[in-house]
Amino acid sequence: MMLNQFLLLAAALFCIGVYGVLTRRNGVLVLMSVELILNAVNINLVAFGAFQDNVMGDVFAVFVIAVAAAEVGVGLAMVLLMYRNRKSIDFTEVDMLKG
Amino acid sequence: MIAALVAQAANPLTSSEFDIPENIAFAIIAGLMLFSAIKMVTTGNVMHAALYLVIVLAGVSALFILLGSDFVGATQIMVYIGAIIVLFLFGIMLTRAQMGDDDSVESERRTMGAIVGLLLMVVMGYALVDGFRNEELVFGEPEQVRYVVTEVALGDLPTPVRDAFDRFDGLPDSTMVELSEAEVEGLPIEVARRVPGAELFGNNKEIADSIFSQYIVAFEAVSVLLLAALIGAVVVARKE
Repeated sequence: MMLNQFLLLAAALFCIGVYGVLTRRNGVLVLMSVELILNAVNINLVAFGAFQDNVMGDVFAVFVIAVAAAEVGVGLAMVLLMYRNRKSIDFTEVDMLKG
Repeated sequence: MIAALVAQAANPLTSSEFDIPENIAFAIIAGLMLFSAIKMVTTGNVMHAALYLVIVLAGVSALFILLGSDFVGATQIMVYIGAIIVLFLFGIMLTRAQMGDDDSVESERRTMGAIVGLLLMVVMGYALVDGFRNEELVFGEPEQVRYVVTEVALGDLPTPVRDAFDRFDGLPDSTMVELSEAEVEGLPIEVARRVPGAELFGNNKEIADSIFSQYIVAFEAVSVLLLAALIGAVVVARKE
């Protein structure tokens, strides 16, 4: 197998994730798109680890998974708080900091 | 005197046969993942988006296993599909997000998003194709050959082996030393080939070793981070 086929697939997933983050208004869906991006990065890490024949990529991917889990926990808590205060999780309506 | 020497075969990096089964598996997984990812970011139903995300995450796990990292693949299934997806489903149900139609996305935002995504894809694709044009992934350990050395005078042995004997202060039953082909040449040795495929899935030990030695600080930092995230999530989401 080529290294590039994994990298290109990961790049495509990354771009789809970016598209989701930019277009979606539902907070939960934005978080899901962020997960897509993190997974694309993980594919890259593991593919490079296999390419260089060491375990650095694997170790780093495991750390990324752990950090992603923490990020989802806090992010969903914030979305929940937002829903409780505003009865809506539309990210485009959160503009209190707008000047 | 018996010493078992492990020497690496000359150049295992030349196996460039077209591995069809792996490529077919990759094509199926990749197609499924891309389809599901696109459906995930375009579908109007939030619940369906979560289920499409499951397919993408399972595909990522399958790719990890295809790449020989079974530990990361198993972690991916347990953490993502087992925990994070459930968290997402709870989030969807608790926020009672419009289950039917979230598709009130203005077409302007959608075209802008598509333009940004496509441009990003073009740039990254060009960089990747330009940078890693024909790099091949080579799997498995390089074929190792086990040499059993019997009845050799210590002076005849190459320097690494002698060092190993010195280090163990005497003559252990067997000593494992990495040798190159050139160093072994000319020695009176018996050759026992390693069973091929015996260590196909075998980097768990190395992962554990490096996490608990080289990356121990990062490991502890991650544990503190998880604790902080746990407390933070509870504090943020609790009722006053």
